[in-house]
Amino acid sequence: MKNGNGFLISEKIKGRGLPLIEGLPDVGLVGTIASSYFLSSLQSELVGHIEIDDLPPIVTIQSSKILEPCRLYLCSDGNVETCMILSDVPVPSQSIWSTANSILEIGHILNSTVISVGGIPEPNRLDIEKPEIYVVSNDEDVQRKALETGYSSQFENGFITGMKAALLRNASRKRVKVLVALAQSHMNYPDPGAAAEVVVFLNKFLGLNVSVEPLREQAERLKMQLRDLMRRTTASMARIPKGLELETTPHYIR
Amino acid sequence: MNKLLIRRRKSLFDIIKDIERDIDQEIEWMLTRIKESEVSSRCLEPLYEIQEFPDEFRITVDLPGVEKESVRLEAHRNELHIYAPCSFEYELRRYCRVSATCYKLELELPIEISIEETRAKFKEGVLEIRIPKKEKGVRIKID
Repeated sequence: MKNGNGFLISEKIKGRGLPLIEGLPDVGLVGTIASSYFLSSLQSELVGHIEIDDLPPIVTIQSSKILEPCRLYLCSDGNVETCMILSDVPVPSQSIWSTANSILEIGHILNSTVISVGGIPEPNRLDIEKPEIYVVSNDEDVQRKALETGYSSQFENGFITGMKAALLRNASRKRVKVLVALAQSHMNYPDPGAAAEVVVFLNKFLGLNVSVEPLREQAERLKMQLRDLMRRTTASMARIPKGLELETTPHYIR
Repeated sequence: MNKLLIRRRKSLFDIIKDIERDIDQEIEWMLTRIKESEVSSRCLEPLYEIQEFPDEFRITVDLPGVEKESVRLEAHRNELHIYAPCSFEYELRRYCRVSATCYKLELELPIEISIEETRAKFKEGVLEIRIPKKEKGVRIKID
């Protein structure tokens, strides 16, 4: 199914209510690592792609196959099915709104809850053994379910910027439930440790049973392989006020 | 003549777009230079961050696949040199196999590095170096 807004999705996933996980490159590449780990751990099938505006002509070659840089996969462990959005390149800052709208449009067509996973910069990450996960949603039931996993805390005060912010801001207008789950993370280094916590949370939230140990074991190699993407993502994030995520919101007198 | 001049004048938005394009080109040039240097030297330039605090510079360097004992950290006046062999090979190019097995980074700081006072720690593949600023402020009495 081709849509005018710049995406292509297979008819087989339409209207089935499958959760849609977004793990586009962002802080610490947490979402990218977590969602690509699910992709490699589960049975997966390419079911569509998103055309990112303002992206120069780029194609990804994998096993001699020509692919779009931002793709949609259907993943299954035999019992639970889910859709994943992955990108091999960071979304340019000027294309965040249009890409977020495409994701929400896909979420609407799929009748999905969009689960946007990523990292939140933590300057003292080196001293943190087990990163916390913070969740926020535009839907109370989704938020409650996320908190009931016991693996997340409520995101109470602060700022979220970039793709996650665009998804949250437009979610209600597009009538799509969005859950944002952020793990404490290094800002400019790939953080597989934070991604492992996201995998544990998603396992519980979605009823999946993906072992997280191989991810922890491969952490060093992954960090090395993702250096180039991290460098590009850092350059791209420089156009977004990511520093805001370290700040507290103003306290107004009520 | 006047019409020609008016046509040539750029709007503020065009000027901003030009600046953005220049920045993008500069970033692309920098990323290309890093890759070219890595391929020719077969040594990786690690990801790093420099933070300046009132009393010190804090530098973190991401060195995945490195053992603490094998990190060579040297200070030369205001320069910091880091070299570390990596325990596994990294394919620099996918289509023709060129691999690297070490990290190398040379940083220039705006202060002279005091070897005695500089502290470094290595945790989960991240090297953290804390360099105190030599010239500390003198407290002035307020009447």
